[in-house]
Amino acid sequence: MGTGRADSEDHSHGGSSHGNFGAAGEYSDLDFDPHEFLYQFNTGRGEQENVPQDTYEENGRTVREFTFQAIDTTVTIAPGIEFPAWAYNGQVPGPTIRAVEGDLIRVKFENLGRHAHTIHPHLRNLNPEMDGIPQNGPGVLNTGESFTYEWIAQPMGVHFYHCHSLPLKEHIHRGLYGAIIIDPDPERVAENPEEYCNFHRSQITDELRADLVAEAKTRNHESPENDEVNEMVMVMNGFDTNFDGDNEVYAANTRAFAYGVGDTDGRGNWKAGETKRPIQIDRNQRQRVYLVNAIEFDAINSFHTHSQFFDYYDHGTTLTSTLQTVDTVMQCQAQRGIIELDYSNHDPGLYMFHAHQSEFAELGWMSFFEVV
Amino acid sequence: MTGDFRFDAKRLTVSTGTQVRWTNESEVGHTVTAYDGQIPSEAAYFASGEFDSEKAARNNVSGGLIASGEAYEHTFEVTGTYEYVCIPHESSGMTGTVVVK
Repeated sequence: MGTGRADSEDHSHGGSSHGNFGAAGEYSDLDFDPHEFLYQFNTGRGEQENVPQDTYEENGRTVREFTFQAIDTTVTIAPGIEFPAWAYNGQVPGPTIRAVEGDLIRVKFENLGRHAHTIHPHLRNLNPEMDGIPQNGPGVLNTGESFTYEWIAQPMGVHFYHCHSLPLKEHIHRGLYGAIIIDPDPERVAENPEEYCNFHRSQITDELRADLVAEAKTRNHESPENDEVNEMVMVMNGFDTNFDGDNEVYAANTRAFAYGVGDTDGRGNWKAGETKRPIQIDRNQRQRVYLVNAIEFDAINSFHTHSQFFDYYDHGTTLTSTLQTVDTVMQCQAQRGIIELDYSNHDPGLYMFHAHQSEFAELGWMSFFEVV
Repeated sequence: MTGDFRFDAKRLTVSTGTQVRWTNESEVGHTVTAYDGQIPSEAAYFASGEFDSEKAARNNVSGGLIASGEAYEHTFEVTGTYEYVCIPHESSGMTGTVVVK
């Protein structure tokens, strides 16, 4: 595969062949940039050229409207390695949708691909016809067919969408998935604080209510407090390049080692590459990762940070953390959560993060933050 | 463009000045979209929908679709090899080549 190899170029220093792994070379296909994808949140305001979108008011609700088209496209998953994907709007992961709880998400979906597809949202959806499964509503959409899905943005959290056509394993692993982020409405949090934490209404103090509202503001992209947080989307995925029912390449956001280093001698020296480089983060800024596991074939995936512990909010559906002070979190397929990171007391430099299934890490899901 | 997601012929050789006409004989929409950088450097970019780059064509797939029964034409003036794709069916193998001599 050209990935996951030990560095065999120099055996003159004992052990140097054990100091490095990664993909050889840089990415030449620049149609998709995983460094840009981290920060691409489509709220209806035209954030991505390949995602026609609009936002407007209708019957007292904010509507966020998106056009999704499924196509059969080719994506680059490692330098020089292409994968025959099925993709929403030509990208894997699909576009990240972002709304505020209570909004209406309207997705005008057209299937242009060769196979029948749907979009199934992991949201609290009250209308079964909008569930995006073969047995309900319009069912699967054949080539050239269209349907407009409408979903109320609820509950708050980080959610998942994917094609629910059969065989499900193939439709997901080919690339038909993405993230939906639902921001809390701070006013609603103030009125119904018990829905956002693990306390009964009788236990909500004024202080807790204020804390929950403050946290909600950091999560709401329309609040100035949200600008203080560096937010990133990471969809953990894998690719079965030879269609044997097992993944050969793993990544966060499709491209193996895209958040790695360009080059290292395995002796503590490294260089950033043009396309393979660490995610630079400001040590004085709070870091938030919207983490989604889309892996197929493997039962679980994970996220592990070096030299730092984080708080985790499973599904992002609470404003108080569900795990405190952990450096590893596990997710099954479709599970997702929010990771809150803080490097403010760390020295500048490289901090690794990766799946703690060593196989996944060595085959692409190995990344770095460069704290500056 | 045929019902089994192929260009027929997949590889076509013509002389300079030839107008090539792609007719969609299938029931679903297809595009004819040149790959940037895979046509002669002096040649004009071509794509159904009259886009001026592959990126523009990919950002507006609908705008390049040739409906069932309709056609797209392009005249090749520069010798060389031209690689092109149907954007919505690329990974189903729907690519083609025109060689101009």
